[in-house]
Amino acid sequence: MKPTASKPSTLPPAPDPPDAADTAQPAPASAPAPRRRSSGNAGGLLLITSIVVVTAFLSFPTFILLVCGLPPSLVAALIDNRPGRHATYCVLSANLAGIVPALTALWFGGNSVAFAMMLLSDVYVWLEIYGTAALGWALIWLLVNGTEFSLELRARYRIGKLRAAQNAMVVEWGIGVEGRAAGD
Amino acid sequence: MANQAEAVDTGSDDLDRRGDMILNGRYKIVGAAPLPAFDTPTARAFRVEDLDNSGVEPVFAPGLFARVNETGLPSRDWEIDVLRELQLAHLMDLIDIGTIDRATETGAPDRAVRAVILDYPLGGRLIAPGSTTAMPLQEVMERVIAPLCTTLETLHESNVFHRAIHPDNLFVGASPDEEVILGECVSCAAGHNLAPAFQPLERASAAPLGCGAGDRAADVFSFGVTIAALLAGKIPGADVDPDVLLHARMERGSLTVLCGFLRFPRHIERLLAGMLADDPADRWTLAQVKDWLDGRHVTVAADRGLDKPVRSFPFVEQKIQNPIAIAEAFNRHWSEAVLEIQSGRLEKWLAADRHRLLATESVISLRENNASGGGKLTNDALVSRVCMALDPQGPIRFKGITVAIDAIGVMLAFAFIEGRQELATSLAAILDHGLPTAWIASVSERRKEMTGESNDFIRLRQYLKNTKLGNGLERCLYDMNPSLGCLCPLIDTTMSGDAAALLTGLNEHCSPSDDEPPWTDRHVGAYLAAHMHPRSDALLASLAMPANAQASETMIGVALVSLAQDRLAVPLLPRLTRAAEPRLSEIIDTYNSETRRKALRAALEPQLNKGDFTALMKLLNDNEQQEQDRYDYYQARDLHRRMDIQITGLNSGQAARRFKAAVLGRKIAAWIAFCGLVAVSFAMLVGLTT
Repeated sequence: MKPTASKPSTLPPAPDPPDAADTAQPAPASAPAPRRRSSGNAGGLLLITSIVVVTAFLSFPTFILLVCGLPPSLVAALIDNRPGRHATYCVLSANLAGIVPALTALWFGGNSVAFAMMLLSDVYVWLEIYGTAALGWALIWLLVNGTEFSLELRARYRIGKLRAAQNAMVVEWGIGVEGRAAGD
Repeated sequence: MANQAEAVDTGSDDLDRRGDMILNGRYKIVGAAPLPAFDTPTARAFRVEDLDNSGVEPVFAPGLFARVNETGLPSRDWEIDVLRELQLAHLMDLIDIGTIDRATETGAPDRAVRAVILDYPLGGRLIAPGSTTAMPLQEVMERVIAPLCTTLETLHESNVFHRAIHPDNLFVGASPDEEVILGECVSCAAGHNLAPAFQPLERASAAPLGCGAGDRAADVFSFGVTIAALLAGKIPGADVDPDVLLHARMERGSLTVLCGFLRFPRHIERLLAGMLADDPADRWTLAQVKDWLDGRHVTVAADRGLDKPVRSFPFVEQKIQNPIAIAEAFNRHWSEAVLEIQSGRLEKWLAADRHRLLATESVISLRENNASGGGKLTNDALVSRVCMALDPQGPIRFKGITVAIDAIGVMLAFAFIEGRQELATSLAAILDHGLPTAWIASVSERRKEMTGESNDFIRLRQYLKNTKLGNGLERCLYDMNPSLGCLCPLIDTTMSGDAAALLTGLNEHCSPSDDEPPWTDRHVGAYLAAHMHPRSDALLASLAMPANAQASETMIGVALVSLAQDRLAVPLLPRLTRAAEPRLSEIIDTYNSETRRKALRAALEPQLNKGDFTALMKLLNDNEQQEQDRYDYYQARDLHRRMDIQITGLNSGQAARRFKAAVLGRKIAAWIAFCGLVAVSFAMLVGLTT
């Protein structure tokens, strides 16, 4: 809001205050959104378990591959209590992206237990499955820290801009505009 | 008080040494040719040469003489205006009057020298000073009473009260048998030169300057005493101490005291009884005097105000019998009077006489008001108002000061001119306590007749309470004395006679070499405000007053000077505007916005060189801009405060940002991973099918 919004003025316009979203009200730092009660991510576990069980009945070789490949996602589902469970989805997606080539090879290579065991005996398959899961975690770390850095950078920039605007106001209106006596 | 004589310095000792003085560019007052026979207690007389209009050629004017008054007191403007127009056979002609040009004088006194040019009475004074020769009754009646009665009647019809009727002010023309000529009355303040015996009782207790402009009855009384003096060949009461004389007049009546020991023809006693009645209502009018002269019967009223009570009132080792004398005694013993009134003894004494029930009621009411506390009626106001109740026709009494209501102005002028701070303080207290309005209200008839005066005093009281420039006691001074020149010490008194001359004088006073010359003071402000009334009051009320007190004073000064410059078409005052510059900067500095200040300074600069205060006023007295500045300033403060909150929020919001980053980063990571899954799945599908 400009100071002379309702009355015309020849004064230079006062700087716009920063967006409410940026400046936020003093930090909900210690009060993040209330977390849902930690139920051990029962939904996710149930989903993964259901997929695995159903798969076990429908296609045992696939079941073997999933049992061996999905533990990273299982772990992620167990430890991710944040709202939205984005870490779980991230790791699951990454983990599945690592399993998909092996599964494809299994399904198009006979879909037998022996072929599944052969695939599991290949270290590159393990590397691929667990590597992509690790990439998921790395992606999370990278993006969380990157976002935090950019938010911090933006906050510093806003503070600098506000300080500059305040200094300009002091020049224009005198020290009294700070709301305290000059000698304070 | 009769003995409360003011030591008015006439400066007359210096006059002889001064050489010639020029009045109004025409009359040369010859300092080396004094006329002591025509001196008065407040003015010296000199021969006059008429410079024959051209201002160069001196012409001896045997028919003129001058009276020079250096008291600096305000002149009687109304009387002067009327007397200039009137040509009365038995009144000394007023030829000219004015303030003497100081450039012709060797000395440099600090007060205005007023000179009046008068028609020279070739026969001199009617009674030589110190003469004890009594005039025959017939001669007095024919040469004095009859002509002067007509003259005074004419003056009174024009609302001019002479107030200088005494034997020393009676003159004769070329022929010794001519009817007398009444001398002038404008070279001094009203009643200033009258001996106490010539003042009516209702004014006699006041100091000579405090006796006031008076009224018809006051002139009749002076006229009566003058007649008595002419008939007796001596001034009544001249050999008696003024205080003793006053006390005796209060206790026994003026007629008895002044004329009781003098021998008069029986015929005249009735006239004197009528003219010297102490109650103004009982005193004869000039019409009654004329009736008496014509041989018609005129009633002489018994002196109601001086009837004797059964017992006397004891006060400070005196036994007083008359309320007027009690009022006078209270005035002289102020602190004892407070105790006496508060004891209730006075009202008991008054109540013993049925004629004084009104005064009794007033005293009781005042005492109860005082006793109720709450500061409604202070002890000083109590005594003064009780004195009014005791002597309703008398002057206002206040802590030893005695002044008629119409003399407060001239007394105040005297106090300022002579530097009598204590007198000025007492007069200020009189106004502040509302004593003049209380005096007017103390008599019901007076309340109706003097409504205008009462309102004026209420207005003066408001000025007094306001301490800003253009107000205060100085404003009261100039409001009550319109003819008084500005007493600003910065300029010469000849430049202070009117508002236009004052501004010109101030402009000339301001020297460009001075670092920060004073450009105005409280006297200038008050003088201009009084002379520009009522426009000045309206202007001051509507002024865009800066928050800073010093800047407010400057603003008022600019407003008053601009008003005078505008209304009186005073030429530009560049030196004055330059002198005012530092003060004007204070007004500009009261603006909060630096941008506005810069703009104002830029706009001010050309006006300072011009000397146009009206333009300055337009520039500085901008209510809208001031209001906008204040509005913007408070908005800016609010915005600054909100920015502070935002900065604090940003500084302490790291945890919140971390939380936000954790959520947002994970969400983005989930989406990227999901996209990766879809891409891999799609690639597998496409790779297999091809």
